[in-house]
Amino acid sequence: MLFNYLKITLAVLKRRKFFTFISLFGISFTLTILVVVTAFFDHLVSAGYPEVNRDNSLYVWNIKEKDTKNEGSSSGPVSFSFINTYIRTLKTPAKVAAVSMFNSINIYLNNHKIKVMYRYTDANFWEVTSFEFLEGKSYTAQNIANNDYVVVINDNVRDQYVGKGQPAVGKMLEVDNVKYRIIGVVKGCPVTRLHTSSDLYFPYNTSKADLKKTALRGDYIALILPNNPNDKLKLQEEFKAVASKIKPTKTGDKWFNPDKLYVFADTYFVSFTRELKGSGDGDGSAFIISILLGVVLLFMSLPAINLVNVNMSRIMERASEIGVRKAFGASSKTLVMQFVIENIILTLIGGVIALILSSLVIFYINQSNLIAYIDLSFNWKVFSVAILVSLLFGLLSGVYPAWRMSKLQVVDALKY
Amino acid sequence: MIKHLFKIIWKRRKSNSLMMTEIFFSFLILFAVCSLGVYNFQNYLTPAGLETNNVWVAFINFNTSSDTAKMEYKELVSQQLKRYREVESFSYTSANAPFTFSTMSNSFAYNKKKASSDVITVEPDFPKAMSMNITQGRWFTKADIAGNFVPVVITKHLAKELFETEDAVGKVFGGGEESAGSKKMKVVGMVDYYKHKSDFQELDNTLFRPSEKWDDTMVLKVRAGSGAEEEAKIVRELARLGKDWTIEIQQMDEMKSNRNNLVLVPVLILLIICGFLVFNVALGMFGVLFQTINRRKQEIGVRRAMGATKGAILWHFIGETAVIATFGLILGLFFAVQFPLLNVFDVEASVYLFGMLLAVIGIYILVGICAFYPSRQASVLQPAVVLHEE
Repeated sequence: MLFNYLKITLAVLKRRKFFTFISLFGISFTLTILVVVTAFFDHLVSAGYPEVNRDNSLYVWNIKEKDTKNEGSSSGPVSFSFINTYIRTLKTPAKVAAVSMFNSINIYLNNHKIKVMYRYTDANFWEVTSFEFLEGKSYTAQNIANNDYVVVINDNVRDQYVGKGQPAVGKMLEVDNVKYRIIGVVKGCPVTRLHTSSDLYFPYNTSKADLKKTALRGDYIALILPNNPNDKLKLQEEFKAVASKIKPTKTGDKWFNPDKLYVFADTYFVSFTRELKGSGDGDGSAFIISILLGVVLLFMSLPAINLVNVNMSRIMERASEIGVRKAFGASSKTLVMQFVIENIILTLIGGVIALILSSLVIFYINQSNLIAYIDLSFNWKVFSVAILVSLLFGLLSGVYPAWRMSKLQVVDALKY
Repeated sequence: MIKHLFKIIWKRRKSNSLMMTEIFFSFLILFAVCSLGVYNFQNYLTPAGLETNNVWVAFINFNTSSDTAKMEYKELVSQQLKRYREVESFSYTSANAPFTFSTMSNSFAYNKKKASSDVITVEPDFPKAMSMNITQGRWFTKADIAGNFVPVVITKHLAKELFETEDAVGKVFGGGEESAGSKKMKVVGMVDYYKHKSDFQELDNTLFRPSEKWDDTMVLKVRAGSGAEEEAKIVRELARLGKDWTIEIQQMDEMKSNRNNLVLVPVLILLIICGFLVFNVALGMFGVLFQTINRRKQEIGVRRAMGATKGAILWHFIGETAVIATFGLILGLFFAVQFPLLNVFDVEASVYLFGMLLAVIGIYILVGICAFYPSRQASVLQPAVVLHEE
């Protein structure tokens, strides 16, 4: 019986090629865009090389000081000494890494220049992240204690500076008139890993800036990885208690004298929503998520209406077929069943096309050098939800009119 | 004729409601895209007021917190730069040099009128380095700085906001409440354009004032053809002057194209997605129209038999679709008009109106194309054949 339905369906789809094409195009194209966009979003917020522990990690990134009287505020990354004083002293067992914001600099080599990004990090940075070392190793606390001028570079810099695939460890790299010994080569990561991506990594002690300054604000980010993933909440609470005791900077400025201070240990996503839309203690994540959902819904509404519209006219067009079949004794149930199967098959074919299309698009983006090292992956969760939603719309729009029509008197149906 | 069409559609508004909603949503999307496009294109057409060709930006970090040491170092750098034949002119600026990602703004007041404006502190050579054209008055000189007032140059946009139709040059004004104690400012010159964020930036308020002692960003105009070789030489020799310094040079051309891409890429992605959406809708509409017209064969037969010409049938069906579109558009326009009325996003009303106009035209063209083929099919039906079927 099922096989029969299948045969009918394929015959029908083949007969009305144009309508089939419209439905398939609508379904597959919408799914493709949805999957590619969510792949991007996923790439931005979920764990990925080299931040594979991102879901378990906490980030202290931004410190905000507010002058409630003059309504001024100022914010920025925390300082190295802030991390030492307030974060490394937390009681909950965790690894704390300090990494500076990225900066760029030019390396000049035989009359051409290589523009590179660099960061300063501590030794813990290499334990919190999971970089793949192609050659050599990372610097350790020992290197820092010895005040060694060493550097970890990524494969892109190696290819340009030393030569493709050639051993780089032990060679010297000159940046800003200072010579560094290359100690390791890592596989590069895309710039979208905002807190870890860079071309060069230096030990923090080689920085020319004075790290002994005790200002709260500075140039660093703290990555906190609890030893036990369940300790995340506990850590956040503990840090909140610590942060509430920190005194705002005394500026002595009449027009900006902060009296309130906000600093949080947030998960990756929340640390951004707080920056964008947070106010006071609110983290703004609910707002951002509802905006994103709103945009997706708005975007989806048009293809959905289109699908409903096309389905309705397809069914209307087949009124006489329904009439004839009813006249020959088909029950409402059989008729509805046929349309259900037809819709499922149509949606599934659309899904398969979308699967192929979006894989191609993702493959292309990964291959092309639009963003170096980008690693988008296919999001099965979103894909299956989207398929379910389009099935739902297909059924609502295709089956409901069919069911109503199957309730019609034979004479009326034939008259259509 | 038109009244007749409206009557037909209104009578069957229920069965046409889906089409109308589809048009409604398509219109909103087109409206958004067109407004965005018009806005950016309009801004792109205004002159930039500055030249980025052969301009370098140097970011120097002396890594010292002492202002006196910094001033000494800055003087050293200036002396050194004057020795190069490649460097035509240069000026220290605050960190928000053109096309960097820093911003700095402040509010100013004149006769109780307040305006907020970008502020950049520069040296007298800045207009030369950036090839700027001073339309009224002149740029400030070293001699001005010693005077009782802080000499400033402002953009036309700011002049209009503070002084309206009055002549800007010579006006003395102050900061907002924040800087009540400091020196008043005096306008010595005005520039028409200064687009320093991207080519797609709206003309905006900018105020140029004399450079402060902590400014350590620099713009340099270099001789055409100076490349990485000269750059390396200059950076190496400058860095030799102080061992703790960090110096980075960027090409302003590249910085500008980075900033432009930040605007262009999202717009392009949006355009591609909307293009596909509209194509999707067009296909759907085409199919639905085809089907509806097919169902009305008998009516067409009767119309033909009663003497309607082929052209009349063609126009009748295109007209009907246009009327459906009109209903959707009226609803859409109702929502779209709220944007200029409520002044959402603080954009000129003309941008929205232009966007609406383009979107309306776009929808009619789309509907026209979709309706044309099915309507032509309908118009070539032979009344005898069609009525015979019945």
